[in-house]
Amino acid sequence: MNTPTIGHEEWAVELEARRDWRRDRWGWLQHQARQAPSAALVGLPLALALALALLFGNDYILRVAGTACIYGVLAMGLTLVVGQAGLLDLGYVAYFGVGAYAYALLASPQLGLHTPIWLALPAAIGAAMAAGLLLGVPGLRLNDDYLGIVTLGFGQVIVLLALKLDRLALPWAGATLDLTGGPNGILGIDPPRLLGWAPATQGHWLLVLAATLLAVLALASRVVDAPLGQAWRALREDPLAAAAMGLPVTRLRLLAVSSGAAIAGLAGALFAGWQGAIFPVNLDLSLLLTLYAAILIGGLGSLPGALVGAALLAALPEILRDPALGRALVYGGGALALILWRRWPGAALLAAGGCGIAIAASLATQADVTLAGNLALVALPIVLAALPLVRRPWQRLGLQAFTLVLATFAWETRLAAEPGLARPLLLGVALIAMLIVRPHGLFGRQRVTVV
Amino acid sequence: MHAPLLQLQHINAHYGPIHVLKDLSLEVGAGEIVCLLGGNACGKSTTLKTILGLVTPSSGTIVFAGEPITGWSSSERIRRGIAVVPENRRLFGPLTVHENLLMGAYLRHDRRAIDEDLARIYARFPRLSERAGQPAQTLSGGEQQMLAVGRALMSRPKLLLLDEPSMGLAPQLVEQSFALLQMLSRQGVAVLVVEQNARVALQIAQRGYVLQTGRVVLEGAAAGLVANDQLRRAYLSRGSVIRFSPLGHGRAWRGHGRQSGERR
Repeated sequence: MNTPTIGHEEWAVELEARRDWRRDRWGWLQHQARQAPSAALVGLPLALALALALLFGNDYILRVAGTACIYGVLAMGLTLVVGQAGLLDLGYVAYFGVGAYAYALLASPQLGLHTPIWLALPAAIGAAMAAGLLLGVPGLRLNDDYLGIVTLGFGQVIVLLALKLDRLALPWAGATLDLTGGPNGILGIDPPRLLGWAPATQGHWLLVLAATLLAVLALASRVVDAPLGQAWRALREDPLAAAAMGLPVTRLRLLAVSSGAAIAGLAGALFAGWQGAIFPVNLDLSLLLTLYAAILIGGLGSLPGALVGAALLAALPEILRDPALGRALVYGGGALALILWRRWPGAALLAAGGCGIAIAASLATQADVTLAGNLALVALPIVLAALPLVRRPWQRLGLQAFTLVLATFAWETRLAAEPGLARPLLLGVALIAMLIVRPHGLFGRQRVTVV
Repeated sequence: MHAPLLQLQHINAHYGPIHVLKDLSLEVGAGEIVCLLGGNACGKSTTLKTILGLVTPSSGTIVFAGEPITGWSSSERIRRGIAVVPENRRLFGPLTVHENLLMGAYLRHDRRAIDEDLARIYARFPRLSERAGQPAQTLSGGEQQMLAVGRALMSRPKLLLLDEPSMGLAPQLVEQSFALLQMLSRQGVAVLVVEQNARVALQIAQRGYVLQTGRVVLEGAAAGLVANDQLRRAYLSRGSVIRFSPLGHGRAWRGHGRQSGERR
């Protein structure tokens, strides 16, 4: 990603401008964000959303909120490792898996163990940390992409182990042991029971998950502000200079990996208890991609960013499941984006007009427009590619209008009807747009190259 | 001469098959300024790295403040009072000026004394206190030099190592930063400065060593070295290796873990 290049004097001027926060569109929000402590900034909306979900939510909404909490915990752990310490850990989901399976083995009929929570949970976290250290020690000599490759492989090994350890040969007993249940997973996992109380409803579960989220947030934000967090960031920027300052590089890296792994292990154990079961499918690559998308959207290294990113990625696919909501989101978001980004109110009007025409047309005919929709889908990229080539203002405006109508038509006829196709597509487009407009994420610090 | 604070005795160092330091011995007394001169790739930076414990010598001993520190870790050595201003300064770019200074004191836990030292450094470099909350990469070259020295001083060193402090600085700033070294030395901090710019280094140093392909070929009082014909021919003549880096100070130090200064 290219970072903007600016000079010292320019930077000083920009600093003044940033201090004068009223001038900038984002300035007001950023100013407010800087004023408030990050825990309060995230805690308040979170508490509000939680209260709303608990008061008015049905089980479905509560489940989505619970997923957001799990994603949030995971994303915070990941952003510590990747964003703060700068270690590209692509095996992160493996620690989640180790935590989940460790808890499942200790508290399910699988091995006939029903360990109490105060023993099983620390054991699960410990197992995940051990896995982190196991990988961390040989990975210490690796940097950047190489570390990424090794950890990615490790993540796959854990999935394979989960799949294959259902027929573990025990030579001394002359039998095989079903440890992980293979693709069928482990079922009937006990919910965490503390002082005789165990979460029974989705509401209870959401309370448990949200409490965990807040605890992890409090802990992680303390670490980030502490000398440890500063040392991680220094290490991320320049390992050799950090070593020359006497920073214990090895210990700092191991600490980063193992604290990330501990957080992931905790999330895994809770997830297993919540779902009541754990399957190898839960550890697939899409979870890793979701988490990376969350911390990138939120801004690498930022804890509030990780939470907001996680909430968005948990909620958006669910919102897009409903064609009506999806429609509102696409048109509203599209028009807003055009106005804000391009400062182009004319285009927004055109978009509104175009979609009106398209909806009217599709309602009027009620015919099978699948073929036409497919054609529009094919034509759309071609028109988009042609767009930058046209230079004359009127031709350009015409083509832009045509593109908008075509896009609306394609959306109405094909994508809105098939959320399964539309959801990943829209998420991908949103992510790309996000990284173009704001490469440092919602809450991240912009990196500049000063010359 | 002062009692030696740092002694390198018959140090040999290798990078793989390459013999970099050959039977190198040198001394720095308490409060003394010593310069280490030499051309490209003659082992100057490696000497500093060996003193810091970033490079392990294959033989020889290092004695610091009366203790043999040869097998010690970098952290342990820095805790005992060795600090470095690395080549190209190598600040932590996106971290603020304040955070950079705190990194220099990472191994210390005396909060109050750290705060006092911070105040002292801000008083000495008012520019830094103006820019305390600003990312280090947005400082100008001279300010970055101040910050790098300030960061090193945050560990309360008895011995300050500097690797090419004049690199990429305007002549006026070079003068300033060498004047600063003289002041530190008067306050009792010993300084070992590695330089290609022999002319400036010999102006402030009391003694000097000249390295050639990893071997000390000349040593003695600075005044004597200035007068030495051999050195004059090799380093002080007009248009010779007195450096001018066409890249300036801008980019090289952003590299991750890359030793941009190590030219071989």
